[in-house]
Amino acid sequence: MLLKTKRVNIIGPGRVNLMFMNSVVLVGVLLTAIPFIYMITASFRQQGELYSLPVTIMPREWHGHNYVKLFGDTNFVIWYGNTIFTAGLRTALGVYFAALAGAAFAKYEFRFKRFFFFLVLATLTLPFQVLLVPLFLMMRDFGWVDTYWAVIVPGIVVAFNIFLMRQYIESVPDELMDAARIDGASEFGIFHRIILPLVRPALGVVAILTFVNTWNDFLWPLIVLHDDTKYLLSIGIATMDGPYDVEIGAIMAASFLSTLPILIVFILMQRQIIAGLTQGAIRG
Amino acid sequence: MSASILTTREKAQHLSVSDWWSRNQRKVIPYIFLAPFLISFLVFTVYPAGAAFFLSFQRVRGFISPAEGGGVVLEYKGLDNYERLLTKDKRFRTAIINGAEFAIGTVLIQMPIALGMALLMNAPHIRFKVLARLAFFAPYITSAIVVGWIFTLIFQDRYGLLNAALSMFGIEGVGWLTNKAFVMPALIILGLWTWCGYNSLFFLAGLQNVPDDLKEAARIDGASTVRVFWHITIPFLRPVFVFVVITGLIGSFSLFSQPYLLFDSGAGPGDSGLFPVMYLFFMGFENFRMGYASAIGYLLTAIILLITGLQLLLFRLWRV
Amino acid sequence: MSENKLSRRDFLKAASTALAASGFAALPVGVVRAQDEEISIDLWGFANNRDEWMQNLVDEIWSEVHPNVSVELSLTPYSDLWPKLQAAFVAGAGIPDMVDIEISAMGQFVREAGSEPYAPLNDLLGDQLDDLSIPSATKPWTVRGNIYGIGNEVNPVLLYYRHDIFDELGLDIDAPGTWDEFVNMLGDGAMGAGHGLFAISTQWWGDFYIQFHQAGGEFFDADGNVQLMSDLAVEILTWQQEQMNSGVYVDRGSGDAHYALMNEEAFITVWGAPWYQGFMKQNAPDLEGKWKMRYLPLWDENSYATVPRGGTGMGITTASENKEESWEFIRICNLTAEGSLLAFRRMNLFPSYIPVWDREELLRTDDYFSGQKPGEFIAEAAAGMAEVNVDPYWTLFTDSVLRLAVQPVMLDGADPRTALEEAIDDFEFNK
Repeated sequence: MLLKTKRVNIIGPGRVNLMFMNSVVLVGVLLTAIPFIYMITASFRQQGELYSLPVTIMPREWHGHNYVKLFGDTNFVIWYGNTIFTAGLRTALGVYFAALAGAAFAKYEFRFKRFFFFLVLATLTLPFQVLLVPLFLMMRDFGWVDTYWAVIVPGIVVAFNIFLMRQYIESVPDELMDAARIDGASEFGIFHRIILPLVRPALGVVAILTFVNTWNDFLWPLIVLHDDTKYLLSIGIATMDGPYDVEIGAIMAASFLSTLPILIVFILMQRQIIAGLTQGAIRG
Repeated sequence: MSASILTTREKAQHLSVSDWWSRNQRKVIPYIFLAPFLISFLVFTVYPAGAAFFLSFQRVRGFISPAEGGGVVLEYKGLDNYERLLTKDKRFRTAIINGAEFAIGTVLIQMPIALGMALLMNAPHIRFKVLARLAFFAPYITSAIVVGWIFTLIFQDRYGLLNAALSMFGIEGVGWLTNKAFVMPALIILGLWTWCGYNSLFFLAGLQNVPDDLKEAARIDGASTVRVFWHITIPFLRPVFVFVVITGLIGSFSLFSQPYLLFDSGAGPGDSGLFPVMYLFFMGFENFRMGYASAIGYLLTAIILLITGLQLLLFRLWRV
Repeated sequence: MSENKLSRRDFLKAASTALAASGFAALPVGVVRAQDEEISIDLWGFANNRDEWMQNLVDEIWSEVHPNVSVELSLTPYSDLWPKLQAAFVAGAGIPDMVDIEISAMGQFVREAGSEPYAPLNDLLGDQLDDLSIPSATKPWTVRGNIYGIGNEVNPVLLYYRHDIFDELGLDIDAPGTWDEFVNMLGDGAMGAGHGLFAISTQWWGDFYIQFHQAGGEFFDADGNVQLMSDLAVEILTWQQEQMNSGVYVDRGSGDAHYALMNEEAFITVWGAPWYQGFMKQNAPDLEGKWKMRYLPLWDENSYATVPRGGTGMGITTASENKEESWEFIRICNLTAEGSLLAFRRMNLFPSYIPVWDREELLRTDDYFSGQKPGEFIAEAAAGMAEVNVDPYWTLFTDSVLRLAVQPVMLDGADPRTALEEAIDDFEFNK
């Protein structure tokens, strides 16, 4: 194993250079942050202010009425609960299954391996919209229309996540697994006690991606959920965009509050997630 | 299964179940590991994909009433749908060209910026690293609906933030979503915001995997910084390039939610914001042409696979 | 107002008429239920204001007369309601009892005779048809003679103008009888003062259709043949292009931006159906007393002074197992004084239910419109309004018109005749 001693970089340091580099990073951060800031400040504006001149990032006056409207006139809290429930369940199952499949591709030899992997990649490319109607017919036959099963189960194992897991699990040293085998560990035991702990950062990444995808999924839950008390956040927010009157401030408030938990989860898990993305895995 | 069984009885030829298992476990286990994926894949992807493939040779004419079991009235059309798409349908062509333009814009503009950002973040003594990572990841995990809303406000011609910012530099604003010449730039800006930072995190991952001693060795041999970058760093980033280019490509052709929201369920002036999946959706769900929509889906998949294959081939050549 | 109160007897009468007339009685689902049986009917809609109106109606009226029938109203974003319905229709499962069918979304599901997912309401409606203003209440939802929806509003397009600015500029709005006079009268007056004369949308086919329809043009004839390609269509589109190029017409902006432009006085006249009045009041409250309305200027002596635009009709699905109850709900919403007046109060919608047209409430002066009586305009206009021939391919057609005729002509200076031809080719290709 390599130990990082000191880094060699292609861009030499130097005081002026460093200041310039720092400011470039800062500008990048700012440009990325501005739309979010605009969303947040928009949610505190008076109706109509977003469409008036001059355009400002900060509200002229801070108002909370969009939030009052959101909690008073809509089922926002119910949608929120529904979304946390479905996204949470789907994430837990989805991550586990993706890791299992990733391990199979990364660490085992079996017939049709390449063919299966091609299948995984192929599903990345077939637009979901094509499957919509046949899938809905299936939900009818399963009796899953207007239930959360229809939101949680189909597509729970995402090809992209398997792909990611495979990449990470590949870097788990074979010697470690072989040693465990010599010690008599079962393959499931190896998976649970060696692979999973070593790829924990990757699990974090896949978890957050799955959670976010479910949290943000729109078209499918909209088609399968009929009762509006079962709606998820994404659908609920969209219903606030009436064809004749748009409550842009309340929509921005809802957008802000619906993005918040994901950002908080990310900040809390940042070390894991960033480690998952940046370290890749242990190199042998 | 305890440790002793495997080690002590490995060579004993008992035909018990546990014995069979201990000998064949490694052959069987991948299928068990794959089972949840395979079952879900077969049931929820292959089967509906097959149904859609069948549908792609039909024309849907009307509904069968629920009393008779539901479903649709079909008329077999052979390859008509595909032939029409390939030879006659101008809108499909527009959608593919838009997808390609977006893909090229994404790769050419986004990749150098993402790589540059990653290099900066990988440099020693750089501050704001934690903040930058948070900021760069945040757009990626924000709902497309939310992004659509925010950018509807930002791209507004008269009251939009972007035009207001431009006017501070004395540049006159444009109709980002209403002038067809600016629709693609607007979408590329949106794509840049959403994915550039995310991709730079992947480059950063790649950069941190470049073995330091290799670069060290090259330096000791007298290689210049540029040469080290070109001959050691970049080749090590190859998998990241493959990943970023291919996901970017697939993403470009599959773009749906953001333009759909920006153009208020339309396709922008002169179809300038029309993407293949949007066209599929319009045909299947506004024009009730589900067979044709399925054909669009399959043709699009074929095109994406073809381009992906070519890309992989190119990357393979690069390795040599 | 006791005669308006819906009594239980009224309901029984209506229900039995409906049963007898409809032939549903013969179906197993039509068996008359024990009165106390708990039933639930549902309606899928897309408009927040209609949702609020119906919820109000359920709370205030329906729950008293039909305590055993609960009504579930569900709201789906406009452009997503139709895919959702389509999936349910295809599967034959999860189909609601009732649908709020927006006028433009009428066509695509009823293309094939014999496989329509909506039930014809003709027999249920029976003689009550005479109580309705046909161009607004049933015509837009009538395909092959079958009425699939009942619309509750009379929707003549009227011209709204800023009388304060006209006065300032010394212009007399009543003088121009024709569109040409209307545009010429302005000279450089309005534009010199920094106002556009008129707001028109380049993101919608409807503003072209309104002037075209007014001149006697039609998209389809009653048999579904395309009527667009005519010298008249070319003439109207050319005329609109000229106004756009000269700055007489300005882009109206969409959503909130439209009302922002209105508040900034970027335009001083605009047209809209009565529902638009409600949104003017809501989004530009400060302009109260500055607006007035009049009929549309004409093209020639054969022009209509107004044309209907927009509207949403309530329909029943063939899959519904509660057709009588659903019809009863639709009837109370649209064919009673209470239901239709509630819509007026909640949404500023002038009822398509004729028996209430002389109600004082509808004919009241309106301060927003400087003391005019909008109701009088609407009731009078309703009599001479053009009718729309809705076609199963309507949405497809309007989409082609917008993409290939209106936008290229208004935004990119395309030749109107070529553009219209292209729009029709595109439509025929996709049909």
